[in-house]
Amino acid sequence: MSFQAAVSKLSTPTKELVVAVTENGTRHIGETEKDQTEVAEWIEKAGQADVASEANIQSLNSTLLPRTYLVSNYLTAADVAIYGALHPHFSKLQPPQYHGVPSLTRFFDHIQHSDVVRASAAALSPSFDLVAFDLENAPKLERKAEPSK
Amino acid sequence: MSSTLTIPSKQTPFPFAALGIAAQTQKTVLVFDDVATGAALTLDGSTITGEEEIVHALAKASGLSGDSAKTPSFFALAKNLRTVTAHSDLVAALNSLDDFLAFRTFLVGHSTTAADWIVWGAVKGSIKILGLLKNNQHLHLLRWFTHIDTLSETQNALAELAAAKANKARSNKTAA
Repeated sequence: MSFQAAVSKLSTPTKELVVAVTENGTRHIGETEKDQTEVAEWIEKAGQADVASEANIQSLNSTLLPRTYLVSNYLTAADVAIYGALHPHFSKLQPPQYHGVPSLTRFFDHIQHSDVVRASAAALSPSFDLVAFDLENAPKLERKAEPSK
Repeated sequence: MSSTLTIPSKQTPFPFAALGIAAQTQKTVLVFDDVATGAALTLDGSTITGEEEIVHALAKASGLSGDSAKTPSFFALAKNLRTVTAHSDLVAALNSLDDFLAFRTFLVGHSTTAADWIVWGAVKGSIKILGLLKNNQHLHLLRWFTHIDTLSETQNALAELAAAKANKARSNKTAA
């Protein structure tokens, strides 16, 4: 699916956010052909009805464990689309819930604070208002005991 | 801002933090000079030596200082990572960094700052820490490290360093 076709299937207001951030698909769409394909695939996922299902949330958390951005190592429309699609879900979560998916919470918090998202979110308020996360009181991670030597 | 960072390509420990932040500013000319005695930054006419001082100066000049209240603790942590010898102390330091980075993309604020560079440099320069990261016990720390390490500016600077080392090796051979 092409970038434009994937974007057209996004629901409002995520579509408006992606269109604004990418200036109508002219920037942040991927620097290589391979990246562009991946970006379009993520946008397609963001447009699916089950994007915030428990299974998808867990899967995104695992995908993001070793990654800062969804595609390559820079911000793209893929990140913006997933962030936008998850906003209604994340804005309702209680601390124990978002503490349970640290990598996805970290990603969401990073994308929501990016300059390009903030610049476009203002006109769409309150849809993409900042979600506050209590990170100071996050539980310590469980660590496996070091293997004895 | 006009600046030049001169580094002997074989300096040990290598000042990776200074190299990394200089690359990120994209306004600093990198010079690998093996006759130089140590890393030195010339910035707007003055010369700055010492890796921490260079990182601070470049951060200040390019707006990468971040939250000044928290930054000193990460400079202390980086120093600790470079000097700590007991295995358990090193693992404890990595555990706490890993906990912190589980929920945060960067060490201070929402973009790369001096704190990220000084700690990245300490990790990059330590074969011991890089080895520990391979045990997959610190996946959040590893994610952060990989991100900084694979930024295109970082990769370009590391490639320049590798080329400078290779040139040196070649000229040595010619001389011999």
